[in-house]
Amino acid sequence: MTSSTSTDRSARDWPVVSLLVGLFVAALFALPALAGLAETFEWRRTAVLSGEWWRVLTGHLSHTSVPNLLWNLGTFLVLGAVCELQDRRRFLLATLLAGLAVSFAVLLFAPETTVYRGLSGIDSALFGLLLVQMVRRARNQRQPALAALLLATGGLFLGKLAYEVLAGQALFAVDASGFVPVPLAHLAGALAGILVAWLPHHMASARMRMPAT
Amino acid sequence: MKRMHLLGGLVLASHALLLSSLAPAAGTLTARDSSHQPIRIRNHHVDVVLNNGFARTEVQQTFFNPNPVDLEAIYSFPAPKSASLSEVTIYSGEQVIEGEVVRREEARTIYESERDQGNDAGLAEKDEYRTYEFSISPVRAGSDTRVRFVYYQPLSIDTGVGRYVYPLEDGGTDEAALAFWTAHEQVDEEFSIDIELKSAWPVETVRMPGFNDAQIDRLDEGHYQVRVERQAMSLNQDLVFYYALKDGLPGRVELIPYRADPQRPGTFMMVVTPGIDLQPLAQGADFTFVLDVSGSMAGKLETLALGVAKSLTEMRPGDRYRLITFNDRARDLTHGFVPANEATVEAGVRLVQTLSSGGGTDVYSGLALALDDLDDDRATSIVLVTDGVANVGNVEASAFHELMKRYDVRVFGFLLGNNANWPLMRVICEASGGFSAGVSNTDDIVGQLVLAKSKLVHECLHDAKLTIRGVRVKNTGDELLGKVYRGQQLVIFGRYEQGGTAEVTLEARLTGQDRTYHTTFDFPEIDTENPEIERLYALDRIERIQVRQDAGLEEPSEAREAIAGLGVEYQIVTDHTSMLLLSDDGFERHGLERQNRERVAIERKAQSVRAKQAPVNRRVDQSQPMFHEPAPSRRGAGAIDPLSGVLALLLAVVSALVWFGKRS
Repeated sequence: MTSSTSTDRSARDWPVVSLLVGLFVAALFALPALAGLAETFEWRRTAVLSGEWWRVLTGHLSHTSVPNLLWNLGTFLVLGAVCELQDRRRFLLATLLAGLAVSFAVLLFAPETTVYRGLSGIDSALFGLLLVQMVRRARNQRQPALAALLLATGGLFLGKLAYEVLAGQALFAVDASGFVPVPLAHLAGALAGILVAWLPHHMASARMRMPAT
Repeated sequence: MKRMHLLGGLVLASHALLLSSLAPAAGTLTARDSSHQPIRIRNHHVDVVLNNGFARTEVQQTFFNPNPVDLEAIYSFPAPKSASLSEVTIYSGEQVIEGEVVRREEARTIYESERDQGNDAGLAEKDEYRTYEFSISPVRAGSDTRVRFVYYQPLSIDTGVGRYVYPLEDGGTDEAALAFWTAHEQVDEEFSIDIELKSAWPVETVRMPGFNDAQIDRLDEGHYQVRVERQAMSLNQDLVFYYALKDGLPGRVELIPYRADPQRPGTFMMVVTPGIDLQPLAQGADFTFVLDVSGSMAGKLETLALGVAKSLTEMRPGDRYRLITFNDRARDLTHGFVPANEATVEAGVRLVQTLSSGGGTDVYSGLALALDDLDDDRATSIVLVTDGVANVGNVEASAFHELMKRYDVRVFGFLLGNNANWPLMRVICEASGGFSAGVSNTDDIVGQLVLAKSKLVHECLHDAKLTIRGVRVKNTGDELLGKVYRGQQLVIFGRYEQGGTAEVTLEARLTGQDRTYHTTFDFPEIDTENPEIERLYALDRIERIQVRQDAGLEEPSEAREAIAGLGVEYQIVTDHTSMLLLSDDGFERHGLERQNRERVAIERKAQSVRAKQAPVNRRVDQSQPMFHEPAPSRRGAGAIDPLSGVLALLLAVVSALVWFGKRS
């Protein structure tokens, strides 16, 4: 582990990226002046195929309804903050990779979906990233109780995802705005997060800021 | 619904006229033992306008008689579903003859009399759900003859997707006719189809599968023009046109009225697009696939296997399935229900991929076997995939109606190919509270299945009932609509005495609770923009009479009289009315009124006005919306649910505690 300078630390002690993204997502949904931008950002199959590739990433920033925004953004802020504080580069990598993976999974494997919105695919990636990192840490620190708790949490989450993908529908509906949940997006996101967590240290991380194990 | 078509067959030979039914085929038909050269198709042009909730299709074909003698020709094309054939014109040299609809027997008698006297004459008849047949006499030796006809169909949109079919592929359901005729399906010179879509709602995209050369022009957000133009094309592939409305459109009520005379009743088409949050069904269900493997399914089995395999692979944990096939007899391939898991689904897919066709079609036995050994504790759906031409065993529609009424099971029917027996399928599905859909080999099969599956795995409205008060309406059909599935539109035709404010209420049960949706809007005193609505209204009434007759609920003689009366009054070709084509002198000689000429003149005038207009939004419940949620869509959302949210919070808290614990 490399140590940080005091100047660096003051910046890194805050999950700046998570907060900025969260602020932007909330503004994009709430401010009437940005309503047009939300449409320009959403993942739209025909637009993506006709060359508007930015939507592959920006689609995750737009949301469909207040409940949809609150659940997705709340989860993003909680998971994002922890992930970012632990390892900002890996957090950014997981976010970007999940953004791409979710969009291409919907493009290729959910042909009935014409429009897609929401941060939840990225939330799933952060869940996968944090879970693997923490399980690894618990194992290295020989904390079987912690490892068991983490594995149970992760198992429940991934089991739910697998069920939803197999069933082709979400277990719980939180959105009545005419949008249909896309479980495949969560699975693609979770796999992207897990992949980033397993990337060799030199490929993914500038430094680990958590205490050495 | 959607389906239209044309198949053209100009058939030679006066002796052939003795046959009452022709093979449906996309091309000219020649008797196998004929010594004449086949009639050639020089060109084939189709103009389609999709606007104001209905489709207008105009077809023009030019035929060439290469023989040295004049011939009587028979021109046959498959009956498009729910289409009202309203205009036929024949151009032969300088002669132009037009049609008037009269009772079937009278039309044939007059036609034969005119033909025998050597006068120019024509006749358009309907052969149940299979074909329209045109007799034309004479077709001059070495000359061109041009035939033009127009028909109208109501449009409906399923889960935001509209679908229009121009069938060209032979349905292959009339084996005797196919054995008799040789089809010549080649267009020698030009083939073209122009589709103009004028939607008042923004359109996300349009698509014509299999026609990658289609030229698509977007004129406005709801206005598209699509053109396919080819040289020397073979008429053996359906044209399917999809248009997907933009997502997030409101649940709504639209009204297309027609009332030209304040002293007479008006006519209306009302389209209700429910905006109701129908939740996914949580518990597993039983699905029985009843698959037609008779001889007429040859050429369609690949589509069948693809569709069923896709459905099987999308089974949910807790679902069970059963596979039954039928031709001369029914067989249970899985010997009862099988729990859906990876291994059993794989085995099921292999079974359907190895099916082969042959033999007759005993639909009744297939359904009866599917109704054996039902589990009363589980919801059961029967997915019936067939071309519906029952010809073995019990073939009476009333028997099917009686059978389905004995069980609490929903039948979802998929009719493959053209010339399929729609009336029988409709009786089966309506008696069970299910629905039916047509599938062309050119369709996006997966897309069609996705829409159908979304209906099977979501809640539906039960005991739905639509009432209109405040304005006197009549002939709207049964106000009890039964079940309403996710994405379905309700299309209601009727008559109204005079304009005024109407209260429209949709009552239904959803998850055991009563739901009521209500709105108020005005029926206009006068509205002359869409006179074609009258023909569509008449066709709707005729179809309802036919369903009742097929189900054994109406005496055939009474049904026949009612259908003939409507056919003549509204000038549409039915099983009991035909379109007689004569010269003006000919109509005068036989003392026949020119009702259709007057009706066509009114329609053309309205069409010329509409052609210059932008699409008109016909929504009538803006000020008092009937629904407060958007119409179901194909939009996806990534949505964290409460369970995932709690798990994420737990993980984050544990991680933070570990981290801060170490740091301190």
